[in-house]
Amino acid sequence: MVFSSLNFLFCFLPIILIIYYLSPKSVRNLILFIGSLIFYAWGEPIYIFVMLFSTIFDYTNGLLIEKFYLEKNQKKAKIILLNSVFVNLGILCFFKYSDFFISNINNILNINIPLLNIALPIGISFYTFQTLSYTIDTYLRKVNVQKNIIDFGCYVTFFPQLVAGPIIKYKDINNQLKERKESIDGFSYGINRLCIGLFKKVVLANNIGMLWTEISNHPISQLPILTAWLGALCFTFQIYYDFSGYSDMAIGLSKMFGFSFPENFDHPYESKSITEFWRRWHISLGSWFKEYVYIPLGGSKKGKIKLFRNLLIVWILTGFWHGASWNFIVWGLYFGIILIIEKFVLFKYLKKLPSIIQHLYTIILVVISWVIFSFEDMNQGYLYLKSMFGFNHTGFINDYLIYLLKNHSVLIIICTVLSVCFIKIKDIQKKKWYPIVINTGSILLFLLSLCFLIGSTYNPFLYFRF
Amino acid sequence: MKRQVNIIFIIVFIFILIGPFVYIFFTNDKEYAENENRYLSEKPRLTKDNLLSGQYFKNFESYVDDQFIFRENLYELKTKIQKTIGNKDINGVYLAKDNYLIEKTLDSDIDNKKLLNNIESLNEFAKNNNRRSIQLMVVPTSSLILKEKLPKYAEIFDQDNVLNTIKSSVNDITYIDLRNVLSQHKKEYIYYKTDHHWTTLGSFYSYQEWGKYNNIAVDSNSYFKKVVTSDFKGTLYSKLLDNSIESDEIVIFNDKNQIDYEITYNFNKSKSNNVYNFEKLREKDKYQIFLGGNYPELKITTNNKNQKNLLIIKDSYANAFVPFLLKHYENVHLVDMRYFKQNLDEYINDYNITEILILCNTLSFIK
Repeated sequence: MVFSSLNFLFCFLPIILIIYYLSPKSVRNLILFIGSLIFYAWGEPIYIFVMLFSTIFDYTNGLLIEKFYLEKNQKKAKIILLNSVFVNLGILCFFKYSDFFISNINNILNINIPLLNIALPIGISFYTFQTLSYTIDTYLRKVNVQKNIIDFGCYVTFFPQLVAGPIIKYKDINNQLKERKESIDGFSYGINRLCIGLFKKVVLANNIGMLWTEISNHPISQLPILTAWLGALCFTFQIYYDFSGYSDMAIGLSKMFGFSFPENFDHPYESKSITEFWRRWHISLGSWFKEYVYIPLGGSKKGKIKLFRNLLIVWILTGFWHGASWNFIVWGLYFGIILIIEKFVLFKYLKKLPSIIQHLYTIILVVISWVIFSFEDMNQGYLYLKSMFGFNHTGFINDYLIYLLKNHSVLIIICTVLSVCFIKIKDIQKKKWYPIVINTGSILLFLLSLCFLIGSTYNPFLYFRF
Repeated sequence: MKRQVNIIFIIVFIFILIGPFVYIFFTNDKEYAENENRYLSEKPRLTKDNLLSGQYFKNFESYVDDQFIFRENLYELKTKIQKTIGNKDINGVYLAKDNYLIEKTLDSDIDNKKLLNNIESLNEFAKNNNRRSIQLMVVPTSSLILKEKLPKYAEIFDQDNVLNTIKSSVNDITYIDLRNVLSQHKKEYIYYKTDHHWTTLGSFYSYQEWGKYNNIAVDSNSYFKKVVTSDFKGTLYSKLLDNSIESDEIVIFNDKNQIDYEITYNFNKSKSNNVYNFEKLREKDKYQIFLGGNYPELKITTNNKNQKNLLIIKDSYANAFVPFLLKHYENVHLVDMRYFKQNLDEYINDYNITEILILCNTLSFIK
């Protein structure tokens, strides 16, 4: 099931809200668990068993680690931990990366092992990282063992974050499983976030995405410089509004059930350096990799060489997490290298430059990174970059660009303005007019989004379909 | 104060969430969408098979999508919003000058393989039927002839190139090029403003052009024109549901020397004696007044017993053109290859076809 569908918003959501609030508190986690399973099974009737396996497997591992600690047997506890890591990553690799490995082996050794062509279970990149955060933190004694399988299942499968994050570490919400307070203010805040997220995804991301698709459908090597940049900019907006919109909806939906999730995006395109960018973009992923990969490897505390190595490993993995294709690895490495350069060389110079230069520096590097990200075929990506920098000798602008700008100027301007919004929410939240404005605004955004959701279901045929 | 505002807000929002659900599941379902030309999804039935395969969920979603409350009004609102922010190209339709809607087709929409296959099939067909005269009339669409009305700098596919390719690639077929004659009359009402078809006037000018290739002089004074409706909102309107646009007029050309004829539809399954089906004016797709729509096969027998039997292989553009041809033939057969499942060569032999005309618009060749 998908948040931005009539089905989810007008059938699943009202039903689960009503059942939840009519039930006594002791049953509410069970309702969320069952509801989340239905939500997941709706799209994937078969792969739900993989997720259930992960849940029961790591629930059991948690109990075993606790048991061995009580027996003062750290060695056995460690074996359980390693087993959990190995199995979870193994499942992830099998479903997500096996064909990548097979096709690379085929290319290197010049043989022809057939690809497995397994469909990727939805959310597997998210829930395996979540169950891992539980077993690792249980081993490290950062959290208490969860003895209630319903509560644990509720954590792993919770539908707001199941499909597209944010990645919620177990320790970030374990208290909320037993002690959360649903409130009027919290619920309306949740609705506000949900409406804003829906608007970002359905009205902004989908439409600016169509523009990117149209531009990139032209022969890439014939795009003039500015048209190519416009296309890249469209994708830059699409991925931001799509992903942050989904996170907003996740945070909003969870708040409607009394959960407070950490933020996942903080106006990343306002950043003045790539270092800052990665503190504002997909925060939960960066945080997971920092805590469970970077720091265990030694972080910055074991000398410069190990620091370089650790950063490169983390960034290759971050890239690879995004997809089973070489361009994602290149994308991760691209950022890894820039971050190293910023940390050791550039930062002291960067700080002294005027703000506007720092912003431009960052956004240009980010836009380029998205081009690498969007083309799985790196030859195409390379051609596109060449067009952006004039190496295809196709001129600066063309009529088509003027047409696009005239037709879509309002959308492009809105996307730009909202991404670098300088209004601090905390400042205006206290104003008297804020509740009325935000609530009315949410309803309007919701209705606007509804128009566009309907739009995608409307399907006229020229000739009658027999 | 804040608390009260929030309570009202929550109530309003819950109402918005529940209202459509109640409407969808507790009121009668809509069966057919005139504007979309299709049947709407029915209530999904739960069976073990479709639950396991996931089909039940898909059916459920289609059902919710299709039966949603205010569906067409919300769609119209979306179009209005897009128009307000200056969008001149919505859902594959250009909002062109003088209130014309023009279908947006791009070079990337052209299926080159299909184009070449169609040309090849045509040549194959011509070889097998080389004892009969074969003429090909590919009607250019408004996106070529009315190019100047498109929004400035708007992209459109290179239709001249496609037509030139067809023209130069067909063998033993007489190619009737309509570009000049239609361009000469482009300031007249030769295409509909809200539909992708040509008007009767457009097909009349083409009939005159056809006449030049068939030694027939066409006198425009031998027809009197009659407006049969001013309320036609066609296929391009349907893609937008913009109710502020001007409707189209449909005109029929009545022949002062009208010949008698009888029509049989779909291998004699039904009959009529009027090429104009006035009942269709009560429906949404009023262009169907011409022959009542598209059939796999249709035969018109006239009382001009000159032993000439014409076969028209067609798409819907031919429907407005056919009435002009009747007086020249003893029998006119119409075949629509999308729906015709019989053996065409046998049909041609069985009915003693003497001439063949292939009449369709450019898009039928490339999509």
